[in-house]
Amino acid sequence: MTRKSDNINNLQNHLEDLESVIQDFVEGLETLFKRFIKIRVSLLKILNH
Amino acid sequence: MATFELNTKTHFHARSNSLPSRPHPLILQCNEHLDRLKASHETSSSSSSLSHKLGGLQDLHECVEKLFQLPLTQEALGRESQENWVDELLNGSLRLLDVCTTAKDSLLHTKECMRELQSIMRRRKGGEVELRAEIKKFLTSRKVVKKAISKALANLKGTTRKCSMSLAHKDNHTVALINLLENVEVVTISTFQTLLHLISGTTQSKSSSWILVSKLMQTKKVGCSKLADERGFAQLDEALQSFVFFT
Repeated sequence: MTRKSDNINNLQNHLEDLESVIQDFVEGLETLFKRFIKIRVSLLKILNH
Repeated sequence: MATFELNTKTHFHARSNSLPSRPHPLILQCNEHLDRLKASHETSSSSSSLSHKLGGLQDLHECVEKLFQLPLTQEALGRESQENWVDELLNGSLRLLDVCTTAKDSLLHTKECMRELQSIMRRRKGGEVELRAEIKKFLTSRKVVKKAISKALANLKGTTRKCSMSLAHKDNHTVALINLLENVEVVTISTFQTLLHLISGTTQSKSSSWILVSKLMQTKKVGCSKLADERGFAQLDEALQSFVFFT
């Protein structure tokens, strides 16, 4: 029984770790997405000039 | 900056006395970012190194953004607007928006399912039956995420172009621009491929486009990426699976 709860504790830690990894990625991707949009807008502006 | 000196060398073209063909400083700066990104790929693709690489991509694209503000670039694009490479540039920019959205959605979806699992574990009421059911639910959602990712990866396959065209009658800045933007897309897409593989918990095949990157960058060897995380996405799926089926 204790092994099982150890197991669950491990899983919980794993989930917590991964959650912060995900948070980190999402923030990075959001910044990157904004840059992609900005570049696309500049590009379209130049080409429609 | 020692690295600056080193990296610029390869980007010089033949010089003449009357017409200096040194690339614009912004192009050199972009190339530096590219070199750094490529070098960092030769190490592992753990989540921390990938997160670092996303930072590098931000810097690179910030630099590209500045490049598009240059009158020199704007004139070149205006002149070449009917050319194939400009079309490809537009297509490439859509692909980047697409793949970025896929990656973010996959992460947010996984996170949401993780939250539900965590709250069940924290409460620990209902006992095992409920926990197992929730884990199975999570694994099913992960399958959906993986499917979306493998579709996105399939769409990306072969898209990173290497268009054969004559650069003969183009000026130096245009040629440098074309080369740079092509490399930017290849490196960006490759980073996203690595990220998508990491999220879905699958290993990246050896024939990944990083080989193309290393060819473009003229380096000798590129390391094969491994899922180096001890507590990554793949390991979570595995742990949950063994919890459900073997305990």
